[in-house]
Amino acid sequence: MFSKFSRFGAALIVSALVVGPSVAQEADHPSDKPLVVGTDFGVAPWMIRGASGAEGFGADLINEIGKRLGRPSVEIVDINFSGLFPALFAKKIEFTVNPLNITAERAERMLFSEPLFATGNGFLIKANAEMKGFEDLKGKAIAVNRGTISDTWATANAEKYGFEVQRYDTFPDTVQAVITNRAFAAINEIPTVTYAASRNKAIKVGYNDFNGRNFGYAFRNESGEYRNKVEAVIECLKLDGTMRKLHEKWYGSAPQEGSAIDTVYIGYGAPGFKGFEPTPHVPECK
Amino acid sequence: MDRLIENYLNAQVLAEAFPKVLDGFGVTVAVSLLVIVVGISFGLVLAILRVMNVKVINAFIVAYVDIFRTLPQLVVIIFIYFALPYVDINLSPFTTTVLALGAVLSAFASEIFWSAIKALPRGQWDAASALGFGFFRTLFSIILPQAVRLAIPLLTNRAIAISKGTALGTAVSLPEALGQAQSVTAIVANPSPLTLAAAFYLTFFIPLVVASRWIEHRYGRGHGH
Repeated sequence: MFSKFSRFGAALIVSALVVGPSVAQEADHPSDKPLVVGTDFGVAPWMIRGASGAEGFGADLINEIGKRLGRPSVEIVDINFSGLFPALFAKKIEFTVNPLNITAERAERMLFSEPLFATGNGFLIKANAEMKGFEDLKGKAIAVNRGTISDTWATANAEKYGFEVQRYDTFPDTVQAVITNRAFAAINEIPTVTYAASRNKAIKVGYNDFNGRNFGYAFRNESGEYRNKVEAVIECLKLDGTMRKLHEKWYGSAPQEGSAIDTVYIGYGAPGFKGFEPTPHVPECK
Repeated sequence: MDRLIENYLNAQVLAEAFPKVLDGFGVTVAVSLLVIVVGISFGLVLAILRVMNVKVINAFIVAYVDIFRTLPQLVVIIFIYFALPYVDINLSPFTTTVLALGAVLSAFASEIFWSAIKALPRGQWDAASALGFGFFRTLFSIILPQAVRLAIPLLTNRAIAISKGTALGTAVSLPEALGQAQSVTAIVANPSPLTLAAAFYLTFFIPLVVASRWIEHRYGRGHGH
């Protein structure tokens, strides 16, 4: 208890002494310039390229956040998933706004916002195929988007369930792999595969594995102060029902009761992961 | 500087990624070498066919060469992999990459061989024929040895440039060095594996570049027999 408290105290003193960070954060997150964020496009309905630029749940959300942060505009940069973290670390973007899973490994190197959206592994298969459980994957090929959490899951379970992993650069490529019989199933986030299946008659969702995972935005470790600022805005969007409405607009249904999308978490960051600040606060919503 | 080391030379991440990227490197080397062999030999075959001067065949060869010289390599790879299954041709990522890059290299190689053959004085054909040499004997023992020599510097450069395209195979799930490195990068949220991939490319392509220089030097110029 004491050690926890003294660490908290030390953090307070450090943040009081060091004036630098807020200047640095203004440098990396300039309030009078467009908010520059990165995501991979093509993950419908989160982020797609529409007639007038970026569209989707993720696009509406970050545009609203940018507005409430008081930034003049939002620039959403299209970066392949495999290039997203290098771009973040190289300061090409301020933070990530793709459907990114909060994981312990990633939290070692970046700061997450609080959970935004509940997810898990969704298995997309051909419309005439059947999948009842993981046992049905034996001897089959599974397509994943390289480096995503589905890739991690598939890599870890390939031997256990006896399937082969094919890694592609984008989600649409994994869907193509299923349609062209190169792979039995494409694994991706549940919201993503649900939407894809609703738009394409050749495929369906064979199996859903909700496993308590959540999406969050990822920031550089030194952007703590700005992370908190963005998170305060997210909390307001949860409280005033904006997030719910966006879910209804893009996913065509109300979000799961009590899931991340309408839960305001105590403190800043993702509870249970590195980078979480348990400081209680009341979001000041306008 | 510390940030650069943390993100691109992180010892722990490098160690973790090494076995996977090494596996990928094996694939890179195999695909690159096959592309060079397939591309150059098929290019030579095309050039020889063209020398025979059959109109219909020549028209096909010219169309083939122009198409593959024009299309971006990535387009060829994606087309073979994702479009051909609709006509029931299912090629593995490995075969797809070798065929696609091999086709592109063969287009350039055939053009290089062809212009080298054309660069030789026409009189050599006439002289050989006056001496009673047949068409094929003239081609294989007089024309080609000189043409290949002329072609070597252009050919080695082109072969290296195109075999580097192996990295494009990641688009169709070829598990080569770059793809493996990107996979680990995203999972551990640190781009150091990319440095590892770069190091592997250097260990393979530097000897290749040096070898090509040596070949150019050894065979490129005439040695005055």
